[in-house]
Amino acid sequence: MKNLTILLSILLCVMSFNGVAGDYKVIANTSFPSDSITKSDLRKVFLLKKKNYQSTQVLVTNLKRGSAVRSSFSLEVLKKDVDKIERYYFKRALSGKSVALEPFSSEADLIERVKSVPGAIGYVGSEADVSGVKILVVE
Amino acid sequence: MKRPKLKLFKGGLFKVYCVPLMVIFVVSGGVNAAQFEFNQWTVNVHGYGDLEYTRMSEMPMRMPLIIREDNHPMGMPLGMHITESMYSMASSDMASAMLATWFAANKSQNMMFSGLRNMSMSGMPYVGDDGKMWMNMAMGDMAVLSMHHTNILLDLQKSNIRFHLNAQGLHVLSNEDKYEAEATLRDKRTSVAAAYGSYGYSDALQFTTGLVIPPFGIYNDVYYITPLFATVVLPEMYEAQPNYLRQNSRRNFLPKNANFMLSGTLFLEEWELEYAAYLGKGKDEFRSDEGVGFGFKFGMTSEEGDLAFGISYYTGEQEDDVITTSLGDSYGPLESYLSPGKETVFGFDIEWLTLGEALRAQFEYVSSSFDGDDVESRSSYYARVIWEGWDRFKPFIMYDNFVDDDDELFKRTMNRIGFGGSYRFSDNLYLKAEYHYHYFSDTEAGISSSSDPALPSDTDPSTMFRTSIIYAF
Repeated sequence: MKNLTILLSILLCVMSFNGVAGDYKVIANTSFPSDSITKSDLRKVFLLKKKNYQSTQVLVTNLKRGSAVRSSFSLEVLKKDVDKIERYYFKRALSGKSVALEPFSSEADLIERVKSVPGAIGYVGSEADVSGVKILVVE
Repeated sequence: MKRPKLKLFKGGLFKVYCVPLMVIFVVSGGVNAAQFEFNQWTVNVHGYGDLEYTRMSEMPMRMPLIIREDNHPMGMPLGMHITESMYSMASSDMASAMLATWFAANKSQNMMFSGLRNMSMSGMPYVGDDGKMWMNMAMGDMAVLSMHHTNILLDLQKSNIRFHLNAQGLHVLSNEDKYEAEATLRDKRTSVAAAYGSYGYSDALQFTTGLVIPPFGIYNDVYYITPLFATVVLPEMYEAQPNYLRQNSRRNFLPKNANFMLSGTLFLEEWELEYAAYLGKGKDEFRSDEGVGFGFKFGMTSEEGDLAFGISYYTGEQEDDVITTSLGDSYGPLESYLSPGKETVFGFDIEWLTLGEALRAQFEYVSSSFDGDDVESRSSYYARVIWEGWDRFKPFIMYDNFVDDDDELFKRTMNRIGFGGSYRFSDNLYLKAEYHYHYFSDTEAGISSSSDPALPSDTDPSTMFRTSIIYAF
């Protein structure tokens, strides 16, 4: 049993480095200038610090609080739980530094937004239908 | 001892703007931030407000009696400008005989002391070791309940163009006597705290123009946004100093006004380098810079965000000027006489997040030098530790140090020890409470008042308790 746990953990780590990380996959508009992104850059983008990626302006999209996919993404990429990230976004908005886009309650709405806005980036569950958008490999 | 008795200040703009907002903030508690899209612009509306209670013990004060040579028809070596209200106030004690003679001789209507009606004033004026005239006095115990901030933020963004507005109402509600409020600068005011447009060429280069509060140290650009920090009050360096009433040396320590700024972030291997360089008139209610002031801040933050440090700089040429600030109907404008000269301010800050992001430690140092005749250098530093390891409660302890060589009281080095904390009821509602103990470390410098028991001792410690309820959406 212990060996199985270790094996599963290793598998999860490997998957996370292949873009389909655990319970989510990172998606972007087809105009996004790259097919991959480092986890470090992904973190900077979702913390609203890095607003441009290879000279393309990035639009960050999130799922609503309470989404299991968001929880997984938040802990793994942003290294903070969703509540802390929401408070972080709130403080960024109050300070006038940057404002996060209102989160989406459904993955379909998020995918539609990513599909229609150049430079948009987001994440959805690994089972979601992502036709029309680009899946980014997280390095 | 005054007891808080809530009453509403009168004022058209306040009735229309601040009072309804205050009611929304405090009573309904159900407001959410609004975000909507309009013609490809994303519009965001946020807001915050805080209801603050302050209780202070007697504070020693040393007031300068300022001479302006161009207003001395009698050519007297000592004198002051004063209002008739000050004349009548002073007429009850010993100093009045001496002062009244001078006032009559001067016949000046210029006002130096504003709003001292409720302060005890005992003892004779004297000439300090700086050659100026001084009076010792004490500001008595007080308790103030006040709706300190009522702010609405509007943010419009389209692609890499953004407009930001922070409209501010101060002290919408207060139990404080109107004259006291005006004297201690807690009078009701509305203002635009920030209003700017920005264009982001890249992460490394952003242009901002308008009314910007420039970055300096950890808090300068957000000093008025109370939900962003764990304490009710910020360290002394972020306040206009010294001596609680404006005098020739009272001015903001740090720049509060820039008009054009270049800023950006460079992402290095394991660090983020943030910079901001700005130009500005530098003019605010406490200063009036001549020409264009210049400042910058460089900050380094580790990729994990657990270590950050920065250096800040500002220099501006202070013109020989009188700043006029409205103090309401009872006193009219308050005039602050400013000496010409060049001021240079330097700052260093460091912030460390450790123990699994549970402990935040901060240290900042600021020093300013002034090459004018009347104003000397001053410096301040503080150290603060905030425990962030618990989900809702953030306790803190701090030590604050402030020295102003130009001020008879503050040149003795004012120390402040504080502790308290903030409690988060929800993402929108916070409670903060803290206790401060002020004392002067140099008890021998300057003129001792111990020979006259009627005078407050310059070195008496004073205490302050502050608490606030903050609502933000």
